[in-house]
Order: sequence, then structure tokens, then C-alpha cells
Amino acid sequence: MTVDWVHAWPTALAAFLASAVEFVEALTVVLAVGAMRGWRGALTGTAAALVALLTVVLLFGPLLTRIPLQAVQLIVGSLLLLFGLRWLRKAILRAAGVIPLHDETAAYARETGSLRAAGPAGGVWDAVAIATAFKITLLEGLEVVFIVIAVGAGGVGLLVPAGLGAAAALLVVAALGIVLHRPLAMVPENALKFSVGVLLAAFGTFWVGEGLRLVWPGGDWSIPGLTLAYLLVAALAVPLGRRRAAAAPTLAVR
Amino acid sequence: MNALSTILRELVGLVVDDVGFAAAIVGWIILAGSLSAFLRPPSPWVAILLVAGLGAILLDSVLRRAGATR
Repeated sequence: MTVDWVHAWPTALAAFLASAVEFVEALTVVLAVGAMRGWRGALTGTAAALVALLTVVLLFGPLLTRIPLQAVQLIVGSLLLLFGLRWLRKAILRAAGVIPLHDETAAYARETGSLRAAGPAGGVWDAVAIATAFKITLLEGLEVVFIVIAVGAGGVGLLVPAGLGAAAALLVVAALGIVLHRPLAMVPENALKFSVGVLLAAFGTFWVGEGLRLVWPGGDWSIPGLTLAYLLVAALAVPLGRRRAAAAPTLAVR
Repeated sequence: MNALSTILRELVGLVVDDVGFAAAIVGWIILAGSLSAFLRPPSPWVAILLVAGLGAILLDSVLRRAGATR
């Protein structure tokens, strides 16, 4: 298997950054479960979800290789574009102060509150703890699987750097979680989402173009150009959005 | 069943947050695809048009949301 190094590094970086955001969100809930209801349930739920994710990857991963590359690029590229632009839009709106920033400390407090309200464990196995850890790991993990497949869909060998990027993110976030034992509130999540949104939108646009058999000026080297173009649009959108929000009418609060 | 619907909702939510925004992106992709199917020989201007349109859709969506009544 050959690795296309023009795409390999940006692919690994995009997968690393995007997966890190998802793993940080999962870690917050798993830490809350561990702290409030014990580590047995938290780790059992997490492990069960990882097994379920691995099963999904092993079942559906090989199917991708049977679909013609052009169709994969168009479908996965479109999904990646929708996903990347959605993230970028949200990051711009947060940076412009239109919607509030995501706060891991507040999320942790919310989660510990609802886990406390769920009452004590009924038996040896804490069903609430296992279900909570399982659900968050599965949901965030599915997003990571989607990201890895999407950024690695562009060519033969790109799934390897994408998978390595996600695996590195898992190791870094898990290591930080073990060492710090608290939510990673200091991670600049919106800046990460902003950067990842730009990268995913650029990749998505490129794969869509390849799927449609468009002619890219500069060939594969148009990916850095696309990244720069989305960065410029996003950088322009933040102050414009802030100005528009400041001028927007506010509903009277009684 | 409840867990399955939650997972499905989350999966759709991965790519669709604002329906109008998502529809505009898909519509623009279809338009670029249709245009490229008619142009012979293929022109790099279709790719440039695709990017410019997607950038404009993003900017328009951000400004609409920012200008909406809070």
C-alpha cells in the first residue's frame, strides 16, 4: 500500500485535531461518571462502546473498498463538506459572540448533577454509570469513525494516516485525563473547531470536486489554496458577524 | 429503540444543523456537477465557482444567524 504524502500530513493533522475535540467531550462525561458513580461502571461502559465501535469499523470498513473511488469521493466529500462547514459556522458564531462558547467545566458540573440525581447504584453493576459512559463514548466515537473515513476517503493509503491521527488524539486526551483527573477546560476548543472546520471544509470541497471530475487549478496542491480561501472567509465572517449581531434587535426581557 | 433513535438523530446532526444551510450546500454541489457535465473540455472555472459559492453560502448563513432577533 502506498501513502500519498501530499495528502498524508494534512490528513493526519485534520483527523488528530477533529478527533481530539470529540475525545475531550467524551472524557468530560466519563470523568463525571467515574467521580460520581465509580470507575468500574465508567470503564466498563467505555470499553463496551469501544468494542461496539471496532465491530462497526470491521463490518462496514471493507465495504468502502468495494465502492468505486469516484462515488466514495463524491458522497463522503459531500458529507465531510456539510460536517466541516457546520463546525466552521458554529465556531465563527461563537468567536463573534453570537452563541456562547462550549464550556467543559459547566458540562462536567451538569453531568455530575444529573448522575447524582439518578440515585445510588442498585447492585454490583451500576447500570446508570455503564449506560452513560457507553452512550457518550459510542456517540463521540462514531463521530471520530466518520471523521477518519471522511478525511481518509480521498485515496488509497490515506485511511492509515487518518487512523493514526485519531489514535494519537485518543492517546493524548486519555493521558491528559489520567494525569489531570479533571475536564480539559483549558483546551481552546473553539480555536480547535475553527481550525478543524477550515481543514475539513477544504478537504470536503476537494473530494467533492474530484468526485464530480472537476479540474482543480494546481491539482492536488489546490488543497492548501482551499484551506487559505476558507480561512479568509472565516476570518472575515467573525468581525462582520459581531457587527451584525450588535446591530440586531434584542427581544425585551420581562 | 430510544437509544437507537438518539444515535440516528446524533448521526444526522453531525452533518445537518441548519436545514437551510445544508440544503444550500447540497444545491450548490448539484449545480456545479450539472455545469461540469455540460462543459467540454472541462474548465477549472467550475471548481473556482464551487469554492466561491460555498464561501458565499457560509458567509450569508453566519450573517443571517447573527442578524436574527436575539
